[in-house]
Amino acid sequence: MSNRFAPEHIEEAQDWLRERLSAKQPFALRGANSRFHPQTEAGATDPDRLSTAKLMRTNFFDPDDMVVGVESGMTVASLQTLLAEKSMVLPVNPWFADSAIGSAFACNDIGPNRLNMGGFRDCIIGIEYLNGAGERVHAGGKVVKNVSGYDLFRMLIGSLGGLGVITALNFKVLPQPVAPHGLYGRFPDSTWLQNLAELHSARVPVDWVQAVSAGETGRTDWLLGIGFSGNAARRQRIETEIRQIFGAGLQLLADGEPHSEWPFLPGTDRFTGWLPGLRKFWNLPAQHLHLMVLLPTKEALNPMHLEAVRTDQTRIAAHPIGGDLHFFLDTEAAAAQREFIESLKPLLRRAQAKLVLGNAAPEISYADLGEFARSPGYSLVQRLKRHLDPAGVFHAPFYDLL
Amino acid sequence: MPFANPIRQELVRICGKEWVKDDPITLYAYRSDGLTLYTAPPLGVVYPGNTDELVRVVKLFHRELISFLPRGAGTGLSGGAVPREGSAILEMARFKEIHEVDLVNRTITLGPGVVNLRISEHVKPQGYHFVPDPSSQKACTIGGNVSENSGGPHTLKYGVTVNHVLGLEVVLPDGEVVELGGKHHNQPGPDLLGLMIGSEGTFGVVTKIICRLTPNPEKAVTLLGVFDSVRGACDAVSGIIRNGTIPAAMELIDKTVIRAVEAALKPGFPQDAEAVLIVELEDLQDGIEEDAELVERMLQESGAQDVKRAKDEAERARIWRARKESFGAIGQISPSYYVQDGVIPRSKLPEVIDQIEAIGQKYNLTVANVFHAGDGNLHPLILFDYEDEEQVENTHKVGEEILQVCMGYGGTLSGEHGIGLEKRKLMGELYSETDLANMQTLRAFFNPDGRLNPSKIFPTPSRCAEAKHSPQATPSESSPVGAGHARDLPADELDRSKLVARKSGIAV
Repeated sequence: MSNRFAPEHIEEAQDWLRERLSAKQPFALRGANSRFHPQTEAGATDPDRLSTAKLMRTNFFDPDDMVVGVESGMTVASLQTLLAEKSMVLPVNPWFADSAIGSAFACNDIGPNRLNMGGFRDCIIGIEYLNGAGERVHAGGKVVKNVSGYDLFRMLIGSLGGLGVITALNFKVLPQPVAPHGLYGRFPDSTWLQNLAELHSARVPVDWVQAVSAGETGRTDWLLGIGFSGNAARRQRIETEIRQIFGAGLQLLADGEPHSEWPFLPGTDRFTGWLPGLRKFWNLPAQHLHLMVLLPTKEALNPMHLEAVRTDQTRIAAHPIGGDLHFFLDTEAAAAQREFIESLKPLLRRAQAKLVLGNAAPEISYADLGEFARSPGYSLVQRLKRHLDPAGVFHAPFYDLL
Repeated sequence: MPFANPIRQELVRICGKEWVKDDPITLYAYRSDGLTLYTAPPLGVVYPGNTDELVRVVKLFHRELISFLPRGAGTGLSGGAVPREGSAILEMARFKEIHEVDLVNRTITLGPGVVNLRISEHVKPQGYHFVPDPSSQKACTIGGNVSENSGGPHTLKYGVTVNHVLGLEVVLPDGEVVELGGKHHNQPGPDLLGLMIGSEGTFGVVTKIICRLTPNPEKAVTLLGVFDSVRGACDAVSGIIRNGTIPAAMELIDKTVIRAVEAALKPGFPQDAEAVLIVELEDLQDGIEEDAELVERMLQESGAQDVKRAKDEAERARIWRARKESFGAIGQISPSYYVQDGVIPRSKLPEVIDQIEAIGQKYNLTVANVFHAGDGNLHPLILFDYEDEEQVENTHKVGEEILQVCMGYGGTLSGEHGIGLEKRKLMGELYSETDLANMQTLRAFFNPDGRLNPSKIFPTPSRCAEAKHSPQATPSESSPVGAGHARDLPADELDRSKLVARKSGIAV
């Protein structure tokens, strides 16, 4: 039986890590237990687990300087609530409201606002982590601009728990958008992508774009939302331009107003992620397949790619501008999930796409994603892992792909 | 000391005779970057013309245990491109090809030798630009920007270089070529692209860059707040940010710089003002007027004596030219100056500006201020006479004390110029030994023999991995001005006009 440990203080985590180091005992990291972690479920061994879920303190929050520092176990939703008290927002908006912020950072989760607000690379300013020698390391700081030394904090974005234990993070935050609104509509097929390409080409400054496939088996239509914000004159201009391109039939809603067909939008989770609502909307089983498909915007705007994967069992959430598609498979059967992944590969190759595993049956692992799980420079990443974790205690099979 | 003959011959075989230089004039020209307070001549300068040539040169240096460093336009202000004794320079000027513009993905792929401003000029007809706009953008190269993670006035709203680069091709110190990132906004796994940007040429030599393009704003409104105190202008900065408005840029210029730029460029700044605050808003035409009126009101409520607005593009261009060329304009009022680069929390600006003035008074030196106020990124300009040894000495002390104040307020040593040679000895005050050792572990990973741009960023090898991995990595100090240097060429061998570079704080 593997060991589970959730320290309340960073010193306890450090002591626990040092014990594993002296015993050369690998362990896996957990955030708030909200996400599938294939590095633990898929492995032949069941490693010890260190959870950061109880590291939830706020280290500082200076609204005048627009910076915040929190421990890594604080959930994204809690952090956004803290910021909202001063009308601020973390400009990342990962989908995963219940994720620990450290977990979202280590997985480099992104959401619909990626287009306008950026990702973790754009807002991280400092970090504290425990390294492969059990040391407590700080990098960056509390100011919004800093080129003093190497950006170790950026190296840990997307590191999937393989390079160190992230214990605290400092972020640059932004004022909440002014009067955010959205235009929402239903489209019978993927032709909305052509309209979206036109909108993108016209350089209309929208905040986010999200399209989701309908929830009922047998339906092929899409629900599309386009968000924008600003004072009344700015919003009116953007709304007019969107309507000129997409035609009539879009419904204008202020954030927080309910939508009969979009129960997950644009409600109270506006800034904390839509994925839980979507899963409910689609009625997905717990061990459904969720693949994050990363590709250039030009490829993501190609309707052929989306139509090619539509089946009765697939559900799609698309953020084409910025190149971020989410494919879901409405089954817990590992064989069906593996078959679906294999069927995608020719398309992924054509679209120069990469894959990240968001959720899956326990039998599915990064190895099933093949070359698509590897980023450019992957062999360098593998060598870096060995350099920074010579004892191999940070259990993360992502680094072991062939 | 030129290249040894066999090395020289092989370099010539790789790059061609005209692209291998080690004559005295070349060695002199490459002995410093834009911070001429530190100098050291290179072993020689090689100008590879493409990645293949560069890889062959790097492999040769690797095999022959020759240290080397890449150099862009030499506009850096921290001594990052000053060759350690015995280092060769890889001049990247020939990598100036623009490979591809991709407007759907909003990217431009280019060589590191492309001048920053050229990128925006290239895509201007299509309505796009490259955001990072350092004051040296007419001369500095995108490769240097990547190396230093450069900023500029408009990074307040849009971010610095790391936020606008999506992909790199990099040659590691042993000649291995790696690609990082691409046209995707995200990639699986650790963000090595983000780590590489800002590594000051100590991890690898960048040979290709994929930059993000940003749509040009439909309209820009440039406001000029006129204040009777620097403190008042600083208060206005905090007030505007606190209100939730993020201008594209907020730049503060004090009376000393106002006097200098008026003498040199005549932008029309009021000469009796203690400070002016440039606030620029960018957005759609619709709605920007309301935002501009709000900011105007906030400037007035913060105590501005007057708030002017650029009435047309020509006037806006005059204001920005004055800001971007303000360092050079200082030459109108002082024989030399030393530009510092520190960052503080922006809410501390009023207190810190008072302390900077007091430090200048303590050493009887004028400290002028022109800086990115919205980011809290200070650029105090310490004015001194190069011929006066005591002033030179005091200039260093003032610079160091200013940085101590920045660190004391929770700030940092550099916001955009980098650490280089200039600030490395202060890194031990900003970071713990453990923190620095972990950074050096990274350097030892990418640069195990320490031969790529040695002696930069870190104070001295201690328990660090670099020291462990590199028996010959003991840094050789480059010479501060006035201290002399065994390897410096005697001034009388040189064209006297070149001495202007030594006497000013900037490259010429």
